[in-house]
This record gives sequence, C-alpha cells and structure tokens, in this order.
Amino acid sequence: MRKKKKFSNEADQNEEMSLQITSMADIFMIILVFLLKSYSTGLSNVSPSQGVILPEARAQALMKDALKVEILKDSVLVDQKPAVSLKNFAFTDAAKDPTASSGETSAEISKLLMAQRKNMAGNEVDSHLLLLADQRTPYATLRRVMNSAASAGFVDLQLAVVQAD
Amino acid sequence: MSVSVEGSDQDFDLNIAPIIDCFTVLIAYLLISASFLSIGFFDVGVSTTSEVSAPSTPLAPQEMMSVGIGEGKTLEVRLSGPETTTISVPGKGGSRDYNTLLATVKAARSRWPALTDASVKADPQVEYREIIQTIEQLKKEVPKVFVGE
Repeated sequence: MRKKKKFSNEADQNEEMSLQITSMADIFMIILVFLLKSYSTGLSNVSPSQGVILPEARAQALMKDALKVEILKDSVLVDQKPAVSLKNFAFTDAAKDPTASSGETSAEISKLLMAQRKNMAGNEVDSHLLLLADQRTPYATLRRVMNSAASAGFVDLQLAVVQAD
Repeated sequence: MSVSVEGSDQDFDLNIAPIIDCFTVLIAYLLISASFLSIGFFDVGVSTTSEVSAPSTPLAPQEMMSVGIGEGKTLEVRLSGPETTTISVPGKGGSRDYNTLLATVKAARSRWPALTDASVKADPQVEYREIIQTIEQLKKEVPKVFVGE
C-alpha cells in the first residue's frame, strides 16, 4: 500500500490519498492459488463425521478411492447412510445377524455393503474399504463391523488415523 | 493505460476493486471449508475363519505371528512355525510396552526372515486406539498386518 500525500500549500491542508490495490490483488491471487491447490490435494472427502475422534498415529499408506464406513458412538454409517444403531459404541442384540453361524456379523451392514458392491461396475469391483472409527470403539464392535465387511467381500481395509506430529 | 480510438487518446484505469471483492469471498469460502486435519491410513487385511479342505500332502509349517492385546496392559506375541513360542510383554509405567513389542518382532523377523505377516487380536473391550498403536508398531517391521480371528 502506498500512501500519496499532496500538499498544495501550507495553509490549505487538503490531503489526497489513493489506495494502491494492485499489490493487494497480487497477494490475494497467491493466497487463492495456494488454497485452491491445497483444497484439490486435500482429503476433504474423508473428513470424519461430527463427534468422531480418530486415533493418532504415523501412517504412510496412500489413500485409495473406496467405500467409506464410519463407526460413531450411536451408529454405524455406510457411505454416509445409517446402517445400524449402537448404544455407547456397542451393538444392541437386535443388530445381531440371526443367519450368521457365529453371530459376529451385522445383517444390516452386510446388506448395505453388498448393495454397494453390486453397484460397482463389472470388473471394477474393489475389495477395499475405508474405515473411520472412533478411538474409543471397543474391539468387539470393530470385529463385528469388519466381519460384516468381509462377508460382503471387502477384505482389504484402510484404517483412517490422524497423523501424529 | 492509453488506447487510441479514431485518432483520439483515452486514458482509463482497470477497476480491480470488484476483483478484490471476488477474491475475498473465495478466500473466505476456501478457508472456512478447508480441513486442517492431516489424515493418514493403515492398510490391513481382515482375518476371517473359513473352512478349507485339507491338503492331500502335509504342508511345511508356515511361520506366523499373532499379537494379542489383553484388557490389562500386557501384549502377547505368539510365534508359530518350526517351533511355537509365546512371549508375554508386560506393561511398563501404566501403559503398554510398545518398544519391547517392536524389539520382540524385530528379533522374530531376524530369526525367521520369511515371516511377513502378523495378525492382531484383542479382548472385546480393548479400545480401537490401542489396536491402532499396536498396528503402528507392527507396520514398522512387518509389511502385512491382519486384524481379526
């Protein structure tokens, strides 16, 4: 910003000031390019839902384009759609799959995942699944979600974590 | 800037104030919608129990490692292959001893170089955070980690 002052004479102190906004436009352009670049390369589409606290770790695997499953305190979401209700991260008995021999899968989750798998085009069928689970999720719940995923053909999981500093 | 139109000069300035306005709105939108969380990923497989037909000829014993996470602070490393051993890694200072776990896995890998897989099991009430911490340590030494039975 350049401040230009003109003094016609000592008596008349008429002050003219013009704001130089060309340099400001340059700065804004640089910020905009930086933000657009970070926006396009950022993983905004895998941001966890409200209330989910992802565990912290140092992970170096690359993200793959895959179906997303989230484990929240009160529900399990498959591709952002509620699949089954939980009570403080635990399955209620109603969520147990009566057809499963071990009872360690959830019929609702398996059904939704199978439907998603059918929607995948022919040879493009992928076995990858992106799992975003709250760090307080007990292993019993995690195992049932994973078994449901495996029964639907999703055997390769990507576990999302917050990168530790 | 000077432009000559039919022999007469016209001076004009480009009005960049509206451009600045657009930039301000765009920058504000991008800043608000930006996610400042840096998310990483662990590639793991799901171990499932499935019935397979028994091979006609017995296979050579395959080296396998499984890490059990107990509800206490103890970690249990079970190595099976030519011989079977179970190494218990007790907690240290009120938390799980991941350094000793890593040293144990390193020692197992140097003893059995063909050991490339590890499976992680846990007690039902063990939290996901602790499973991730264990996977993080295992991934430093073992390329493939499975979770489940």
